[in-house]
Amino acid sequence: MPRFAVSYRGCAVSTTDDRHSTWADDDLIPPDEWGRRRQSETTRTVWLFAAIAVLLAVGHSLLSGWLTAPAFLAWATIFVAICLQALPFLVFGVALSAALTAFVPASWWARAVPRRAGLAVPVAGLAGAVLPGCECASVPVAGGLIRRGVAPAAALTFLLSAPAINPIVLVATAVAFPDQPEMVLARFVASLAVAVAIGLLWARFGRAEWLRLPRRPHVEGGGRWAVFRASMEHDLLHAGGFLVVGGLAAATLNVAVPRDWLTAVAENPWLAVLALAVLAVLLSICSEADAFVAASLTAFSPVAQLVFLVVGPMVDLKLIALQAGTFGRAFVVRFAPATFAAAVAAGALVGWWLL
Amino acid sequence: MVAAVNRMAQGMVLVLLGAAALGCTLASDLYLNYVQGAFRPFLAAAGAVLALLGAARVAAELRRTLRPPAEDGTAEAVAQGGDGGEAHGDPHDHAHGAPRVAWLLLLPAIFVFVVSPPPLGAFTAETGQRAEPPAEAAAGPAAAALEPLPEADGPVAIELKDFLMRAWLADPGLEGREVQLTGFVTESDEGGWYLTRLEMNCCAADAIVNQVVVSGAEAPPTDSWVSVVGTWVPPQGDTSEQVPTPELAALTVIGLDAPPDPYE
Repeated sequence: MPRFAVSYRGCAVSTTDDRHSTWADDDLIPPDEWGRRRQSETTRTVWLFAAIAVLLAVGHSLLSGWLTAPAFLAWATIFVAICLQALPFLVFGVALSAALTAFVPASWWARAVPRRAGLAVPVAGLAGAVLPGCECASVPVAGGLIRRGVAPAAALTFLLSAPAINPIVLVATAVAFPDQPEMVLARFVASLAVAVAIGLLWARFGRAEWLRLPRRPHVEGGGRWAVFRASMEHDLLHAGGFLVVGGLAAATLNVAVPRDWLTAVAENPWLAVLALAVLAVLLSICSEADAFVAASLTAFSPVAQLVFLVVGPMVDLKLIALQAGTFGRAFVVRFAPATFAAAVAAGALVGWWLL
Repeated sequence: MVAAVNRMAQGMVLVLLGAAALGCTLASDLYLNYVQGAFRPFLAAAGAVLALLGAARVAAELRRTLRPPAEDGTAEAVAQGGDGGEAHGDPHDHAHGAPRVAWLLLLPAIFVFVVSPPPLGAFTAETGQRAEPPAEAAAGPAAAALEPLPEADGPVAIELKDFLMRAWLADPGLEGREVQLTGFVTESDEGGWYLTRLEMNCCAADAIVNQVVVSGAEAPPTDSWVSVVGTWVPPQGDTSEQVPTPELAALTVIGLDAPPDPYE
């Protein structure tokens, strides 16, 4: 047994820390000399996971005495919280995306979505108001829409607007700001404006080659359910892995950024807006909960709070990682900064106008 | 290079992740350390979907591998073709395996089972986002939204955030009443010690720190859970510049076991 555990830890390190380390077949478990013939990769995988299962079963009693540093435990709690919080939304979004692929024929989309971007983009923006999920659900759905032939401009508008203006988020905002109903209106207007603006920007300047959707597995034979299952599995593994990357980064910053720094910049109106915009990116709070955090930042002006609410659901670490996994890196290095700039500008303008 | 995630591994990763989600919702109350109680059915359902999806994949791969070659001449060729594709193909070929980043999906499962992170505590109380008094413009409506404290002969049990709001609004119905607050102990630099409770709206990443200064009682050990009965101490002096943390003069302090749901 110890042999399994040691070998397994070696694997874990090379998985997370060192992408270039070699992981030759010889290192796999169990070593060749254990079997009479070289075992198939499937068999070796089964052994590897048997070792992982043993580690999971006995690891807590072996290691919990060592893992006591408060900062590490707080980090671990927040990391697990972000992952578990996102999981149902991710599964829901991936299932919806797979259903779009498996059960809605491509020809339907061609009829349902207006061909002209000038019309399709605002329609997609408003359609975002009906998907009751957070940002983790909307990324795979947007990927599924693009795969089904929906114009990327419209799908990306939907991607941005769905987590920001859906009914659950708006109700949560109203509850968090009980005495400022104009905050709900301002959030709706500013978020929709950003989503539509980015969609139109993509329709005008976007290039198809920036989008790299990972190829779906080709399912031979099998009915629609086989397609549904295969695309769900595929999207979960792609988007899910990147979600964990985002969760790791967000948990680290959540623990590492002392909130005292914030009060120092709250006095200056421009710095305050920028500080909360950056904080929204770093904290990666689910769009259904961010209003409560914004409401607790009472040292900041309502305009800065609004910017926090507009930026958060559209650009954050978790989301950037998720988008990189779904649409590719070339896409995200253009899309995230453009969206961030648009969200800060729209939040500041609408806040100045309405709040 | 770390191996691409072959199909058998894909299935097993999903099974373990699903098992983690199911284990911390159905087999224990661990999920309450991370997310809202109302989240339980959704998390369990997501875990079940993941576990079933993964199990179906594992079963399909096992069938493919274990099918004896004698019965079906093509089976071995198919199996070897599949493995060969993994070993020799382009590592970026997504048609067969998932990308390496999918291995990371094991991390949440490992953390849930091996670390089982505890609820946020004194560390977050010190570094996290603290609840702040409402802005002046908002104070009027916030006061109107407060219900009067329920009539009772003895102390009234209320949430820390409720106590804070009443104390900040200075028209709180707290005068002359005994209240009972429950939370954990953290060190204070304002004299006395803090009774702290974290407020969670969605998941632990959005925790907000609610704190009350407790005076008139010895500080219990940091991070231990206590229930304090006491009376509100109105702030002294000029509070227009800096609002002090609301204070509770303790009458009794009782130690408790940590509650299953540590947040409010």
